[in-house]
Amino acid sequence: MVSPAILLLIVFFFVPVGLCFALAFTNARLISPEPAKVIGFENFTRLFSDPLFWKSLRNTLYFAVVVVPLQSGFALLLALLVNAKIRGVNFFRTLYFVPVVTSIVVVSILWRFMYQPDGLVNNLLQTLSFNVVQGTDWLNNPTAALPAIMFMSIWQAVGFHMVIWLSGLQTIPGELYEASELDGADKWQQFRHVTWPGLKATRTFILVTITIAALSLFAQINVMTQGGPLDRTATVVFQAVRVGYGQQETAYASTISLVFFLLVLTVSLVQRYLTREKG
Amino acid sequence: MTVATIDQASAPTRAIPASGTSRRPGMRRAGGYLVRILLVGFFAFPLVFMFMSSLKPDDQIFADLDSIRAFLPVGDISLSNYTGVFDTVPAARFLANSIAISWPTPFPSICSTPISRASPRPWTRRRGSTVPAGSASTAVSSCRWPARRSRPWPS
Repeated sequence: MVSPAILLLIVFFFVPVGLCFALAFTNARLISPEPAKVIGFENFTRLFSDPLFWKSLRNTLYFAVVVVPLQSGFALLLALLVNAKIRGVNFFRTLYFVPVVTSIVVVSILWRFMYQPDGLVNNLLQTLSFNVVQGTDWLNNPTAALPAIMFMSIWQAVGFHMVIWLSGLQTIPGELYEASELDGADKWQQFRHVTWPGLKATRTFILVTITIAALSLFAQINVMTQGGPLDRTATVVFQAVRVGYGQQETAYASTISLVFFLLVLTVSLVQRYLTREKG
Repeated sequence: MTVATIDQASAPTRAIPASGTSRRPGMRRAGGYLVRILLVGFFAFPLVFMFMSSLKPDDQIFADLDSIRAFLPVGDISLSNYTGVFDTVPAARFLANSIAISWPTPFPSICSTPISRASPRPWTRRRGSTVPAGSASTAVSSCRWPARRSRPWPS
């Protein structure tokens, strides 16, 4: 029974990771008449002395640090809103989920259009603020570009985590709420002492998945900014793809991917450790 | 005896706020609906804008940007952008390719990876819900897959 799973794991996990590990110690290029040679840790030395890598890493971590708490918090709020027994709740659930079903590239193209200096976002800002707030060229402003992408990413993905939170909320037994109501607990106390502890497993799952997704930021950058302006939106994955396919430096891209893999693994293990079942 | 005393003592204190709070649940419910409807606007407005823009010629899209007309099917409305898609690129072939690539993708992950164990409980609680879940995820990934190809089409 487990052999298909093992086969798939070997083909889609162990072989690529092993190849990535092996290539990181060579000078292989995507298309080259020369055979690849083993060059030891040269790629790693180059990577750690590359200012663009550190800039990409900083941007990636900045994105994750902002997006993970905001997106998970907003998703929980939405889940609480659509967990209520009210009329039309399925309508609200569906519409909050619609951006998730829409392709991230389609969404990125749409928001790139809306973020233009004379685009919809600036027009809305001016209209709603009675011309007090003047917009900016969001994606070409070094300060505003990454926050603009963060906003769009949260808008696009929050519905998915809303569904996960919702499934967690619906596994909490109703008797616990009834008992707490009899004890005189108000809504906030119910949330703090019943809902929040009941969401422990969901919380861990959401924290890990949002963090991995945030650290893997690529599509939005590739479509909207190509890493610009002034590399202020370059990320580690974008850098790996640009180097690997644009510059055809397969070995160096493998080095970036390997370091990124170790980074994600470390962050996930730390999160798992911090959110483990105690006792 | 003690219980009766407590009930009698608490009865008047409940009665006073009861008349005051009779309007509160209604107001709270209305407020809740307002928040939910505003959020619908927040999530839907880019998609409504996209849909309405797809019915308009380029120059009208920019002309409508500074007004509510950007979200309304007004002006020179037509399906020419949609017919244009089929004229300029082999859209049917792209769609078929996307479905062909996406269709087998979710099933191995549902059947053989730990994702199936980590999936939300209501989706797996009922027997037989795996196939609908697989079909839904296939449909979703079919829609999402075409856009993964973010590079320009080869001429």
